[in-house]
Amino acid sequence: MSQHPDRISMAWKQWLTKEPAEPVENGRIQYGPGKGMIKQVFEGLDASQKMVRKIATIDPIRKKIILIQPREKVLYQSGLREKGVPGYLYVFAHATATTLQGMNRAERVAALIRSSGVWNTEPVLIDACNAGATFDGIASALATALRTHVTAPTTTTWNYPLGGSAVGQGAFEKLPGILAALPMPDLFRPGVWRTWGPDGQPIATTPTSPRDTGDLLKGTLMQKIRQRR
Amino acid sequence: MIRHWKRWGAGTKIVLVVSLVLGAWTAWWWIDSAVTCDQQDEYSYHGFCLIELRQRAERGDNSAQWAYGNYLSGIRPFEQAHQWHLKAMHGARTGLDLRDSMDAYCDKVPGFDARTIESTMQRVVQTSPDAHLRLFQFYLSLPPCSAFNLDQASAQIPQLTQCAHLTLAEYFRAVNRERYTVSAATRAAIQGNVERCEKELVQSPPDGPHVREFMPVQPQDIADLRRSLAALQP
Repeated sequence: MSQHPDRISMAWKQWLTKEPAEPVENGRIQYGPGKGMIKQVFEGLDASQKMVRKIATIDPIRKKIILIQPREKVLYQSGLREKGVPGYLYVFAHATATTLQGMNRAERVAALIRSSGVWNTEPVLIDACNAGATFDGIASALATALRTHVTAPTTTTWNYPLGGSAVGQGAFEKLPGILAALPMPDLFRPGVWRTWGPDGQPIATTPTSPRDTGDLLKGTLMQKIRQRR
Repeated sequence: MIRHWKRWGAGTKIVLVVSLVLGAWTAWWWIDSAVTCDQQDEYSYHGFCLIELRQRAERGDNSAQWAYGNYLSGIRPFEQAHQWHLKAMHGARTGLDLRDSMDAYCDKVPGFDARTIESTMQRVVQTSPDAHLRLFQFYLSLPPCSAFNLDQASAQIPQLTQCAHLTLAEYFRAVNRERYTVSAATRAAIQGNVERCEKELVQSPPDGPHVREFMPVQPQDIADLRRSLAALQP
Protein backbone atom coordinates (compact mmCIF):
# COMPACT_ATOMS: atom_id res chain seq x y z
CA MET A 1 0.00 0.00 0.00
CA SER A 2 2.51 2.61 -1.10
CA GLN A 3 1.53 6.12 -0.13
CA HIS A 4 1.70 8.82 -2.73
CA PRO A 5 1.36 12.52 -1.90
CA ASP A 6 -0.41 13.16 -5.18
CA ARG A 7 -3.05 10.48 -4.54
CA ILE A 8 -5.76 12.83 -3.28
CA SER A 9 -5.39 15.31 -6.12
CA MET A 10 -5.48 12.43 -8.61
CA ALA A 11 -8.97 11.40 -7.48
CA TRP A 12 -10.64 14.52 -8.86
CA LYS A 13 -8.42 14.51 -11.93
CA GLN A 14 -9.76 11.05 -12.76
CA TRP A 15 -13.30 12.42 -12.51
CA LEU A 16 -12.54 15.07 -15.06
CA THR A 17 -10.26 13.32 -17.51
CA LYS A 18 -10.46 9.93 -19.13
CA GLU A 19 -7.31 8.95 -20.93
CA PRO A 20 -7.45 5.98 -23.30
CA ALA A 21 -5.86 2.73 -22.18
CA GLU A 22 -2.35 2.00 -23.40
CA PRO A 23 -2.41 0.28 -26.81
CA VAL A 24 -1.38 -3.37 -26.47
CA GLU A 25 -0.55 -5.65 -29.41
CA ASN A 26 0.75 -9.21 -29.07
CA GLY A 27 0.85 -8.70 -25.30
CA ARG A 28 3.21 -5.69 -25.47
CA ILE A 29 2.56 -1.97 -24.98
CA GLN A 30 3.05 -0.17 -28.30
CA TYR A 31 3.86 3.36 -27.17
CA GLY A 32 3.86 5.65 -24.13
CA PRO A 33 5.96 5.41 -20.95
CA GLY A 34 5.50 1.64 -20.80
CA LYS A 35 6.50 1.00 -24.44
CA GLY A 36 7.87 -2.51 -25.00
CA MET A 37 6.66 -3.84 -21.64
CA ILE A 38 4.57 -7.01 -21.44
CA LYS A 39 0.98 -6.95 -20.18
CA GLN A 40 -0.42 -9.99 -18.44
CA VAL A 41 -3.94 -10.28 -17.05
CA PHE A 42 -4.82 -12.09 -13.85
CA GLU A 43 -8.02 -12.27 -11.80
CA GLY A 44 -9.17 -11.74 -8.26
CA LEU A 45 -12.52 -11.59 -6.48
CA ASP A 46 -13.91 -8.29 -5.23
CA ALA A 47 -16.18 -7.58 -2.25
CA SER A 48 -19.25 -8.59 -4.27
CA GLN A 49 -17.86 -11.97 -5.39
CA LYS A 50 -17.26 -10.56 -8.89
CA MET A 51 -14.11 -11.40 -10.81
CA VAL A 52 -11.89 -8.36 -11.24
CA ARG A 53 -9.29 -8.44 -13.98
CA LYS A 54 -5.96 -7.08 -12.78
CA ILE A 55 -2.85 -6.22 -14.73
CA ALA A 56 0.78 -7.27 -14.40
CA THR A 57 3.11 -4.98 -16.35
CA ILE A 58 6.41 -6.72 -16.93
CA ASP A 59 9.61 -4.82 -17.77
CA PRO A 60 12.01 -7.41 -19.19
CA ILE A 61 14.95 -4.99 -19.30
CA ARG A 62 14.79 -3.74 -15.72
CA LYS A 63 13.40 -7.08 -14.43
CA LYS A 64 10.46 -5.35 -12.86
CA ILE A 65 6.81 -6.36 -12.38
CA ILE A 66 4.11 -3.80 -11.52
CA LEU A 67 0.82 -5.24 -10.24
CA ILE A 68 -2.25 -3.00 -10.37
CA GLN A 69 -6.01 -2.99 -10.57
CA PRO A 70 -7.37 -1.17 -13.63
CA ARG A 71 -7.60 2.60 -12.97
CA GLU A 72 -4.75 2.61 -10.42
CA LYS A 73 -2.95 5.20 -12.48
CA VAL A 74 -0.92 6.69 -9.64
CA LEU A 75 0.46 3.35 -8.49
CA TYR A 76 1.21 2.41 -12.10
CA GLN A 77 3.06 5.65 -12.79
CA SER A 78 5.07 5.28 -9.59
CA GLY A 79 5.98 1.75 -10.65
CA LEU A 80 7.07 2.94 -14.09
CA ARG A 81 9.37 5.53 -12.49
CA GLU A 82 11.23 2.85 -10.54
CA LYS A 83 14.41 1.69 -12.26
CA GLY A 84 14.59 -1.72 -10.63
CA VAL A 85 17.62 -3.11 -8.78
CA PRO A 86 20.34 -5.01 -10.65
CA GLY A 87 20.55 -8.59 -9.40
CA TYR A 88 16.96 -8.62 -8.14
CA LEU A 89 13.50 -9.18 -9.54
CA TYR A 90 11.69 -6.00 -8.49
CA VAL A 91 7.97 -6.31 -7.65
CA PHE A 92 5.94 -3.12 -7.18
CA ALA A 93 2.36 -3.38 -5.88
CA HIS A 94 -0.13 -2.74 -3.12
CA ALA A 95 0.23 -5.24 -0.28
CA THR A 96 -0.56 -6.15 3.28
CA ALA A 97 1.27 -8.55 5.56
CA THR A 98 -0.56 -11.46 3.92
CA THR A 99 -1.48 -10.25 0.41
CA LEU A 100 0.20 -8.92 -2.70
CA GLN A 101 -2.28 -7.14 -5.00
CA GLY A 102 -5.04 -9.27 -3.49
CA MET A 103 -3.18 -12.58 -3.81
CA ASN A 104 -2.97 -14.43 -0.47
CA ARG A 105 -1.67 -17.68 -1.84
CA ALA A 106 2.08 -17.34 -2.44
CA GLU A 107 1.91 -20.01 -5.15
CA ARG A 108 -0.22 -17.59 -7.19
CA VAL A 109 2.39 -14.86 -6.95
CA ALA A 110 5.05 -17.47 -7.75
CA ALA A 111 3.08 -18.64 -10.82
CA LEU A 112 2.78 -15.06 -12.02
CA ILE A 113 6.52 -14.46 -11.53
CA ARG A 114 7.42 -17.72 -13.30
CA SER A 115 5.13 -17.00 -16.24
CA SER A 116 6.53 -13.45 -16.58
CA GLY A 117 9.59 -14.94 -18.25
CA VAL A 118 11.94 -12.43 -16.56
CA TRP A 119 12.79 -14.38 -13.41
CA ASN A 120 15.86 -16.61 -13.36
CA THR A 121 15.99 -17.67 -9.69
CA GLU A 122 17.41 -14.31 -8.58
CA PRO A 123 16.33 -12.77 -5.22
CA VAL A 124 13.04 -10.86 -5.19
CA LEU A 125 12.63 -7.33 -3.83
CA ILE A 126 9.00 -6.54 -2.98
CA ASP A 127 8.46 -2.77 -2.88
CA ALA A 128 4.97 -2.82 -1.37
CA CYS A 129 3.59 -1.62 1.95
CA ASN A 130 3.75 -4.03 4.90
CA ALA A 131 4.65 -7.03 2.70
CA GLY A 132 7.25 -7.97 5.30
CA ALA A 133 5.29 -6.91 8.39
CA THR A 134 5.07 -10.40 9.86
CA PHE A 135 7.68 -13.16 9.99
CA ASP A 136 5.33 -15.70 8.37
CA GLY A 137 3.41 -13.52 5.90
CA ILE A 138 3.38 -13.24 2.11
CA ALA A 139 7.13 -12.51 1.76
CA SER A 140 8.09 -15.59 3.76
CA ALA A 141 5.61 -17.77 1.81
CA LEU A 142 6.88 -16.42 -1.51
CA ALA A 143 10.49 -17.21 -0.54
CA THR A 144 9.40 -20.81 0.19
CA ALA A 145 7.38 -21.09 -3.04
CA LEU A 146 10.17 -19.74 -5.27
CA ARG A 147 13.00 -21.15 -3.15
CA THR A 148 14.88 -17.89 -3.33
CA HIS A 149 15.64 -14.87 -1.13
CA VAL A 150 12.86 -12.30 -0.73
CA THR A 151 13.24 -8.79 0.75
CA ALA A 152 10.22 -6.70 1.82
CA PRO A 153 9.44 -3.68 4.05
CA THR A 154 7.94 -4.09 7.52
CA THR A 155 5.82 -0.91 7.29
CA THR A 156 4.12 1.39 4.79
CA THR A 157 6.50 2.59 2.07
CA TRP A 158 6.66 6.18 0.85
CA ASN A 159 7.74 7.09 -2.65
CA TYR A 160 7.94 10.82 -3.33
CA PRO A 161 8.34 11.41 -7.04
CA LEU A 162 9.21 15.17 -6.79
CA GLY A 163 8.84 15.58 -10.52
CA GLY A 164 11.25 12.87 -11.62
CA SER A 165 12.25 9.39 -10.58
CA ALA A 166 11.23 8.44 -7.06
CA VAL A 167 13.73 9.60 -4.47
CA GLY A 168 14.16 7.62 -1.31
CA GLN A 169 12.27 4.48 -0.61
CA GLY A 170 11.48 5.05 3.01
CA ALA A 171 9.65 2.54 5.15
CA PHE A 172 7.79 4.33 7.93
CA GLU A 173 4.57 3.72 9.85
CA LYS A 174 1.60 5.97 9.11
CA LEU A 175 0.78 8.79 11.54
CA PRO A 176 -1.19 7.63 14.59
CA GLY A 177 -5.01 7.64 14.89
CA ILE A 178 -7.10 9.80 12.59
CA LEU A 179 -3.94 11.41 11.20
CA ALA A 180 -3.22 8.12 9.42
CA ALA A 181 -5.41 9.34 6.55
CA LEU A 182 -2.84 12.06 5.79
CA PRO A 183 -0.25 11.17 3.13
CA MET A 184 2.66 11.71 5.53
CA PRO A 185 5.01 9.23 7.20
CA ASP A 186 5.59 9.10 10.95
CA LEU A 187 9.31 9.83 10.93
CA PHE A 188 9.60 8.74 14.57
CA ARG A 189 8.48 5.18 13.72
CA PRO A 190 10.73 3.91 10.92
CA GLY A 191 10.39 0.42 9.48
CA VAL A 192 13.10 -1.87 8.17
CA TRP A 193 13.64 -4.08 5.11
CA ARG A 194 13.63 -7.73 6.08
CA THR A 195 15.07 -10.61 4.03
CA TRP A 196 13.86 -14.23 4.08
CA GLY A 197 15.92 -17.21 2.96
CA PRO A 198 14.71 -19.86 0.48
CA ASP A 199 13.34 -21.88 3.43
CA GLY A 200 11.02 -19.00 4.38
CA GLN A 201 13.00 -18.08 7.51
CA PRO A 202 13.96 -14.43 8.17
CA ILE A 203 17.74 -14.01 7.97
CA ALA A 204 18.57 -10.28 7.88
CA THR A 205 17.23 -6.75 8.24
CA THR A 206 18.53 -3.45 6.83
CA PRO A 207 17.32 0.09 7.62
CA THR A 208 16.98 0.97 3.92
CA SER A 209 15.97 -0.83 0.77
CA PRO A 210 18.62 -2.66 -1.29
CA ARG A 211 17.67 -0.23 -4.05
CA ASP A 212 18.88 2.75 -2.05
CA THR A 213 22.00 1.39 -0.43
CA GLY A 214 22.88 -1.87 -2.10
CA ASP A 215 23.69 -3.19 1.37
CA LEU A 216 22.58 -6.71 0.63
CA LEU A 217 23.79 -6.53 -2.94
CA LYS A 218 27.37 -5.71 -1.95
CA GLY A 219 27.42 -7.43 1.41
CA THR A 220 28.43 -10.89 2.47
CA LEU A 221 24.84 -12.14 2.25
CA MET A 222 24.71 -11.44 -1.48
CA GLN A 223 28.05 -13.21 -1.98
CA LYS A 224 26.58 -16.27 -0.26
CA ILE A 225 23.47 -16.09 -2.45
CA ARG A 226 25.61 -15.93 -5.60
CA GLN A 227 27.72 -18.88 -4.45
CA ARG A 228 24.59 -20.99 -3.93
CA ARG A 229 23.18 -20.19 -7.40
CA MET B 1 -22.89 36.83 7.86
CA ILE B 2 -21.63 39.21 5.17
CA ARG B 3 -22.90 42.14 7.30
CA HIS B 4 -20.71 40.96 10.22
CA TRP B 5 -17.63 40.16 8.07
CA LYS B 6 -16.11 43.67 8.39
CA ARG B 7 -16.55 43.69 12.16
CA TRP B 8 -14.61 40.43 12.67
CA GLY B 9 -10.89 40.46 13.34
CA ALA B 10 -8.32 38.84 11.10
CA GLY B 11 -8.02 35.80 13.41
CA THR B 12 -11.75 35.09 13.26
CA LYS B 13 -11.75 35.43 9.47
CA ILE B 14 -8.86 33.00 9.10
CA VAL B 15 -10.56 30.47 11.39
CA LEU B 16 -13.80 30.81 9.42
CA VAL B 17 -12.11 30.39 6.03
CA VAL B 18 -10.08 27.39 7.24
CA SER B 19 -13.27 25.83 8.70
CA LEU B 20 -15.11 26.31 5.40
CA VAL B 21 -12.24 24.78 3.41
CA LEU B 22 -12.01 21.81 5.80
CA GLY B 23 -15.80 21.34 5.71
CA ALA B 24 -15.85 21.42 1.90
CA TRP B 25 -12.93 18.97 1.72
CA THR B 26 -14.65 16.58 4.16
CA ALA B 27 -17.91 16.74 2.18
CA TRP B 28 -16.02 16.12 -1.06
CA TRP B 29 -14.12 13.19 0.54
CA TRP B 30 -17.39 11.54 1.66
CA ILE B 31 -19.10 12.01 -1.69
CA ASP B 32 -16.01 10.73 -3.52
CA SER B 33 -15.83 7.69 -1.22
CA ALA B 34 -19.41 6.78 -2.16
CA VAL B 35 -19.10 7.48 -5.89
CA THR B 36 -15.83 5.55 -6.33
CA CYS B 37 -16.97 2.58 -4.22
CA ASP B 38 -16.86 0.09 -7.10
CA GLN B 39 -13.22 1.08 -7.77
CA GLN B 40 -12.05 0.60 -4.18
CA ASP B 41 -10.38 -2.53 -2.90
CA GLU B 42 -8.83 -3.82 0.30
CA TYR B 43 -6.00 -1.28 -0.08
CA SER B 44 -8.24 1.74 -0.57
CA TYR B 45 -11.62 1.25 1.18
CA HIS B 46 -12.58 4.46 2.96
CA GLY B 47 -15.48 6.64 4.10
CA PHE B 48 -18.99 5.66 3.05
CA CYS B 49 -17.80 2.60 1.16
CA LEU B 50 -15.95 1.20 4.17
CA ILE B 51 -18.96 1.70 6.45
CA GLU B 52 -21.24 -0.06 3.96
CA LEU B 53 -18.75 -2.94 3.63
CA ARG B 54 -18.61 -3.39 7.40
CA GLN B 55 -22.41 -3.39 7.63
CA ARG B 56 -22.63 -6.06 4.92
CA ALA B 57 -20.02 -8.13 6.76
CA GLU B 58 -21.98 -7.82 10.01
CA ARG B 59 -25.15 -8.96 8.23
CA GLY B 60 -23.32 -12.16 7.24
CA ASP B 61 -22.46 -11.45 3.59
CA ASN B 62 -19.61 -13.92 3.00
CA SER B 63 -17.72 -11.99 0.32
CA ALA B 64 -17.97 -8.79 2.38
CA GLN B 65 -16.55 -10.65 5.39
CA TRP B 66 -13.53 -11.76 3.35
CA ALA B 67 -13.11 -8.25 1.91
CA TYR B 68 -13.46 -6.51 5.27
CA GLY B 69 -10.98 -8.96 6.81
CA ASN B 70 -8.58 -8.27 3.92
CA TYR B 71 -8.93 -4.54 4.60
CA LEU B 72 -8.18 -5.09 8.31
CA SER B 73 -5.15 -7.23 7.46
CA GLY B 74 -3.41 -3.97 6.57
CA ILE B 75 -3.99 -2.55 10.05
CA ARG B 76 -2.36 -3.70 13.28
CA PRO B 77 -3.27 -5.66 15.34
CA PHE B 78 -4.02 -8.31 12.69
CA GLU B 79 -6.22 -10.42 15.04
CA GLN B 80 -9.32 -8.44 13.98
CA ALA B 81 -8.72 -9.48 10.37
CA HIS B 82 -8.29 -13.11 11.44
CA GLN B 83 -11.62 -13.05 13.31
CA TRP B 84 -13.53 -11.86 10.23
CA HIS B 85 -11.78 -14.40 8.03
CA LEU B 86 -12.55 -17.18 10.50
CA LYS B 87 -16.22 -16.20 10.44
CA ALA B 88 -16.15 -16.15 6.62
CA MET B 89 -14.49 -19.56 6.41
CA HIS B 90 -17.09 -21.19 8.64
CA GLY B 91 -19.89 -19.55 6.63
CA ALA B 92 -18.55 -20.75 3.26
CA ARG B 93 -21.24 -22.29 1.03
CA THR B 94 -19.79 -22.23 -2.50
CA GLY B 95 -16.42 -22.82 -4.10
CA LEU B 96 -15.79 -19.08 -4.47
CA ASP B 97 -16.30 -18.67 -0.71
CA LEU B 98 -13.15 -20.75 -0.14
CA ARG B 99 -10.71 -17.86 -0.40
CA ASP B 100 -6.94 -18.11 -0.54
CA SER B 101 -6.59 -16.65 2.96
CA MET B 102 -7.43 -20.13 4.22
CA ASP B 103 -4.24 -21.51 2.59
CA ALA B 104 -2.23 -18.47 3.68
CA TYR B 105 -3.27 -18.86 7.33
CA CYS B 106 -3.04 -22.67 7.41
CA ASP B 107 -1.33 -23.83 10.63
CA LYS B 108 -0.18 -20.24 11.28
CA VAL B 109 -3.29 -18.53 12.65
CA PRO B 110 -5.44 -19.98 15.45
CA GLY B 111 -8.63 -21.55 14.06
CA PHE B 112 -7.06 -22.19 10.65
CA ASP B 113 -5.48 -25.57 11.35
CA ALA B 114 -5.15 -27.86 8.34
CA ARG B 115 -7.85 -30.31 9.50
CA THR B 116 -10.47 -27.55 9.99
CA ILE B 117 -9.76 -26.06 6.57
CA GLU B 118 -9.86 -29.48 4.95
CA SER B 119 -13.22 -30.37 6.53
CA THR B 120 -14.66 -26.99 5.45
CA MET B 121 -13.53 -27.57 1.87
CA GLN B 122 -14.86 -31.14 1.89
CA ARG B 123 -18.24 -29.87 3.14
CA VAL B 124 -18.43 -27.25 0.38
CA VAL B 125 -17.33 -29.63 -2.37
CA GLN B 126 -20.46 -31.76 -1.76
CA THR B 127 -22.64 -29.01 -3.19
CA SER B 128 -20.08 -27.11 -5.27
CA PRO B 129 -17.99 -29.55 -7.36
CA ASP B 130 -15.88 -26.70 -8.80
CA ALA B 131 -14.30 -26.50 -5.32
CA HIS B 132 -12.26 -29.65 -6.07
CA LEU B 133 -9.73 -27.25 -7.57
CA ARG B 134 -9.43 -25.52 -4.18
CA LEU B 135 -8.95 -28.90 -2.45
CA PHE B 136 -6.35 -29.84 -5.08
CA GLN B 137 -4.47 -26.60 -4.36
CA PHE B 138 -4.81 -27.10 -0.61
CA TYR B 139 -3.22 -30.57 -0.71
CA LEU B 140 -0.21 -29.02 -2.47
CA SER B 141 0.34 -26.43 0.31
CA LEU B 142 3.91 -25.80 1.36
CA PRO B 143 5.17 -25.90 4.97
CA PRO B 144 4.36 -24.83 7.62
CA CYS B 145 0.88 -25.95 6.47
CA SER B 146 0.62 -29.68 7.19
CA ALA B 147 -1.98 -30.34 4.47
CA PHE B 148 0.57 -31.42 1.84
CA ASN B 149 -0.47 -34.87 0.59
CA LEU B 150 0.21 -36.03 -2.96
CA ASP B 151 -2.14 -39.04 -2.69
CA GLN B 152 -5.02 -36.74 -1.77
CA ALA B 153 -3.98 -34.19 -4.39
CA SER B 154 -3.90 -36.91 -7.06
CA ALA B 155 -7.40 -38.03 -6.03
CA GLN B 156 -8.77 -34.57 -6.83
CA ILE B 157 -7.58 -34.51 -10.45
CA PRO B 158 -10.38 -36.74 -11.92
CA GLN B 159 -12.94 -34.60 -10.07
CA LEU B 160 -11.84 -31.27 -11.58
CA THR B 161 -14.53 -29.41 -13.49
CA GLN B 162 -12.22 -26.80 -15.01
CA CYS B 163 -8.83 -26.46 -16.70
CA ALA B 164 -6.23 -26.50 -13.91
CA HIS B 165 -3.06 -25.65 -15.83
CA LEU B 166 -1.36 -23.66 -13.05
CA THR B 167 -2.15 -26.11 -10.26
CA LEU B 168 -1.14 -29.06 -12.42
CA ALA B 169 2.21 -27.33 -13.03
CA GLU B 170 2.50 -26.96 -9.24
CA TYR B 171 1.60 -30.66 -8.88
CA PHE B 172 4.36 -31.69 -11.33
CA ARG B 173 6.90 -29.63 -9.38
CA ALA B 174 5.84 -31.38 -6.16
CA VAL B 175 5.93 -34.80 -7.84
CA ASN B 176 9.51 -34.18 -9.03
CA ARG B 177 10.58 -32.77 -5.67
CA GLU B 178 9.17 -35.71 -3.71
CA ARG B 179 10.02 -38.36 -6.37
CA TYR B 180 6.39 -39.43 -6.19
CA THR B 181 5.08 -42.19 -8.47
CA VAL B 182 1.97 -41.10 -10.36
CA SER B 183 -0.49 -43.92 -11.06
CA ALA B 184 -1.80 -44.75 -14.54
CA ALA B 185 -5.31 -43.60 -13.53
CA THR B 186 -3.97 -40.20 -12.41
CA ARG B 187 -1.96 -39.83 -15.62
CA ALA B 188 -5.17 -40.48 -17.58
CA ALA B 189 -6.99 -37.88 -15.49
CA ILE B 190 -4.21 -35.33 -16.15
CA GLN B 191 -4.44 -36.14 -19.86
CA GLY B 192 -8.20 -35.47 -19.69
CA ASN B 193 -7.63 -32.13 -17.97
CA VAL B 194 -5.02 -31.08 -20.53
CA GLU B 195 -7.57 -31.80 -23.28
CA ARG B 196 -10.07 -29.64 -21.42
CA CYS B 197 -7.45 -26.87 -21.32
CA GLU B 198 -6.98 -27.16 -25.09
CA LYS B 199 -10.71 -26.62 -25.56
CA GLU B 200 -10.62 -23.61 -23.22
CA LEU B 201 -7.74 -22.19 -25.23
CA VAL B 202 -9.91 -22.26 -28.36
CA GLN B 203 -13.03 -21.03 -26.61
CA SER B 204 -12.80 -19.38 -23.19
CA PRO B 205 -15.34 -20.71 -20.68
CA PRO B 206 -18.16 -18.27 -19.89
CA ASP B 207 -17.72 -16.01 -16.87
CA GLY B 208 -19.64 -17.41 -13.96
CA PRO B 209 -19.53 -17.85 -10.19
CA HIS B 210 -17.16 -20.81 -10.37
CA VAL B 211 -13.67 -21.49 -9.10
CA ARG B 212 -11.05 -21.26 -11.85
CA GLU B 213 -7.35 -20.57 -12.26
CA PHE B 214 -6.42 -16.92 -11.75
CA MET B 215 -4.71 -16.60 -15.14
CA PRO B 216 -6.09 -17.83 -18.48
CA VAL B 217 -4.38 -20.80 -20.13
CA GLN B 218 -1.75 -20.06 -22.80
CA PRO B 219 -0.40 -22.39 -25.56
CA GLN B 220 2.94 -22.52 -23.70
CA ASP B 221 1.17 -23.85 -20.56
CA ILE B 222 -0.28 -26.76 -22.54
CA ALA B 223 3.08 -27.54 -24.15
CA ASP B 224 4.72 -27.54 -20.68
CA LEU B 225 2.00 -29.81 -19.24
CA ARG B 226 2.33 -32.26 -22.13
CA ARG B 227 6.11 -32.36 -21.63
CA SER B 228 5.74 -32.95 -17.88
CA LEU B 229 3.13 -35.65 -18.50
CA ALA B 230 5.34 -37.40 -21.04
CA ALA B 231 8.22 -37.40 -18.54
CA LEU B 232 5.99 -39.36 -16.10
CA GLN B 233 5.55 -42.31 -18.44
CA PRO B 234 7.07 -45.44 -16.90
